[in-house]
Order: sequence, then structure tokens, then C-alpha cells
Amino acid sequence: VKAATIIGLARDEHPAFTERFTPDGVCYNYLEQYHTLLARKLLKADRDALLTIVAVPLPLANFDAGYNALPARIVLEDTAFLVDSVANRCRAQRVDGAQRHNPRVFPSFTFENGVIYQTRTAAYWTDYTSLELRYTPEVTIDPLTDDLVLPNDAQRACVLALAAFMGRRIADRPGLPPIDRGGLAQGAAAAEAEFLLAHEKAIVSEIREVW
Amino acid sequence: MTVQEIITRGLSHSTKNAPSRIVDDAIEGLAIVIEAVRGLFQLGTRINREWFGETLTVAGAAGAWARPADAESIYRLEIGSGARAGTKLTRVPFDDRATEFRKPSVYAFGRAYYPSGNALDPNPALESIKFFFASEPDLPADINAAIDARFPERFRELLALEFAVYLALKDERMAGELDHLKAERDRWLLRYVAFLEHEDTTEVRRHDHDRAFNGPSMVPLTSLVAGGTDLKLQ
Repeated sequence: VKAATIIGLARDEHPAFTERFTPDGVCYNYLEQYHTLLARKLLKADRDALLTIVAVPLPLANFDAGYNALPARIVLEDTAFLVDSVANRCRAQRVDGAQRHNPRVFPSFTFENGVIYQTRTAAYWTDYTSLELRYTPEVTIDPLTDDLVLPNDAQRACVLALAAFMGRRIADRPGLPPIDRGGLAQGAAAAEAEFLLAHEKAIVSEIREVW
Repeated sequence: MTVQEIITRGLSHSTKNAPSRIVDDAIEGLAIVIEAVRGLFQLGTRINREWFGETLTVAGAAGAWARPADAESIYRLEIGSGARAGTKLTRVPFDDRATEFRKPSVYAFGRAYYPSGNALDPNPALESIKFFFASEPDLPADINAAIDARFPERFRELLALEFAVYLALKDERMAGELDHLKAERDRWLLRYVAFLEHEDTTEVRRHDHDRAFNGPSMVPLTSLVAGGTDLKLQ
């Protein structure tokens, strides 16, 4: 779903929500904030909801320089997966930067200033062909034509939250039905709760060896 | 419908209007009719701007695009040339140019339009702007010239009565006759307004039904005709 679509749908909630009185730029700024907030709530309900997986081919061009092609701001998971030359997968643990040259576990990696470093030396990694990183990117939407990072079923919550915001910005217009500000706010809260409930992960079904 | 025809009909509304004596047809008469037409175009533009609609594509010069000189009311801007031709432009305030920083936008200053300084703005050196606007009427050169055809001929009596009301005001015939002329004029004014309101009712509109615009004030339509009117026009 694109930001411009959300803004258009919010305008459909009331004929007074015109571009003239609620410019796209103002709507976009609100949507950007709400979208970020909702994404945080979503990650609380399901930490894997926005999971992004990238496979880093090994060996790196420069072992010491590490891998720095990730987005500027991410939340990286503590565990990555390694794939060896016969397609076997195994876990690689994230360790503290201080342990880069002498880690307590291996295979492992460190993550400093947005750069992934493999621990020990290149000679220890010759069996591995790729490193599968799992991370949650910073939640951003940029141009109006960009898709939201949130899943498509967040659309109704975003539309109603934005419509409630529009309703708070403008006065009722002559000849048009009064803006139901309370109804829009309630609808937005209900849509948000429904969205988060749908994504709440059943933690009991997940078995983890460590937390 | 020529200016002379309007003057002749206007004079006939009162026995006190002595032809060629109360007003010089070719000079003052022409000027009165021109102002009457201008006023009714202004009033009509508020009600049905598309009826008076025109477009003009203006190339950029010296970093800006000049406002069409005969525009009474501009109501849409588009990029007029290049790969983005047809893209809607948003006009933002002179003192808040980042209002629509994610969209192509311009601001107006001194009868010209300038890029507002954001990434997607049009470039005056490469792109033109297509203006959609209601224009002023084309003015008749003399009393034998025709009135701008956008003023429907069947409402010529309204123009004649505007002329007659002006003469009554000039002659200070305040009691009785002026009220009578204004009442007659208002009857035709209502018919003119009604026509502009309903001339095409097929439009489907999502938003902006009242077509209000951002501005410090809005002059009432009732003040745009000779001597004003007591009609309840919004």
C-alpha cells in the first residue's frame, strides 16, 4: 500500500478533507509518524513481523573491512545462519565487538557501526559460501509513491488514524455533514487494535533453546 | 449582441433616459457596458469557473513563469511540457515553500510563479506550466462590437438592466425607480446565476464540494452588480 493511497482513502472519509485544507505534505508528515509508531507496536506483538533476510556471499572482498552494504539503521538479530559449500546451514552467533579476534563461540560475527565483521581470520571461514543475516530495517516511507513497510492489513488503521487527524485540523464546513471526530478516533483505535491482534504471535508455540 | 443593442435596451427602461443626452453611447455607454460585463464575469466565475475556462501554456523565463495577464481566477496548474507533462502542480504559500515538499510545487509572487525549492519542482529552463483559469471577458472595441460570447445571449436583458440601474444611480433617481429597476435586474440575475449553477449537473466530486478557497476574505457575490443586491447569494 502506498502512502498516497492511504492519504486518498482518508480523504474519502469526509468530503471536507480536501487537499486545500489538509495538504498532502501535512498528511504525509502525520502518516510517517503514525506508521513508525504502529510499526513499533507491531514489533512488540511480533518481533519477526518486519523481518528482512539478506544473504551475504562469502568470502567477502575484504575480510578486514567487513560487510557494510546494510541499510543505515537496522535492528540486527543475534543469530545469523551460515551456508557451507554443500548447502548445510548452521547458526552463527553475534558476539561483542571486543571478542572479534578471540571469540568464545565460533562461527560468530560482530556488528559495529552498521558493519558486519566475521570473527577470527579468513582462514577459518573457507568452508562457508554465504552468511544469512536477519534484521528489521528502520521503518521509513519516503516519496508518496513508496509502499508502506507495514503489512497491507495495516491500511485500515492508517487510513482511520489519518482521517481522525484531518478531522482535528479543520472546522466543519457549511453544507456538509459534521465531522464525526469521536467516531473517527474510535474507529482508528479499533482498527489498530484489530491489526495488532491479528499479528500477535502465539509465543507458546515457539520453542527456543535460549532467550 | 452588440454593445449598441445593450445600450438601446437599457435606455428603454425609463422614460427619463433621453437617448444621446444622459450618456454618450460611444464613450461612457461603452465603458458602462464593459464594466457590467466584467462584473457579471466575476460573479459567474465564483459560481461556475469552468464556464469561463481557458488554458495557456507558458514557457519559463528568467527563472519563473508569468501569470496569464487576462486570468481572473486560476484554478489548476500542470507541468505543460516534457516527460512530466500533465502532472499536477501545487501552489504553496510564498512564506511556507516546504508545504508540499514531496510533490512538484510552485509559489506565486509579483504576478509570476517560481519553483518552491523542493526536489520535484518544475524547472523554468526546461519545462512550461499549463494554466487553467477563468479569464476576463474579451472587451468590445466599440459600440458595434459583440459582447464576449461566453456571456449567454439570452441573458442580455440582465446587461441592459445593469446599464439602466447605472443610469438611475447617475441621475440620482433613488426613490421608486431605482428600486423597481434593481428588482427587475435581480430577477434576471437569479436566472443567470441559476443557469451557471445547473448548466451541467453530471459532475461527480469526491471532495471540495463547497469550492472554498484559502484567502483572508471572500467578497459577497451580492456586491458585484450595479448598486448591489439584496438577493441571498453566497
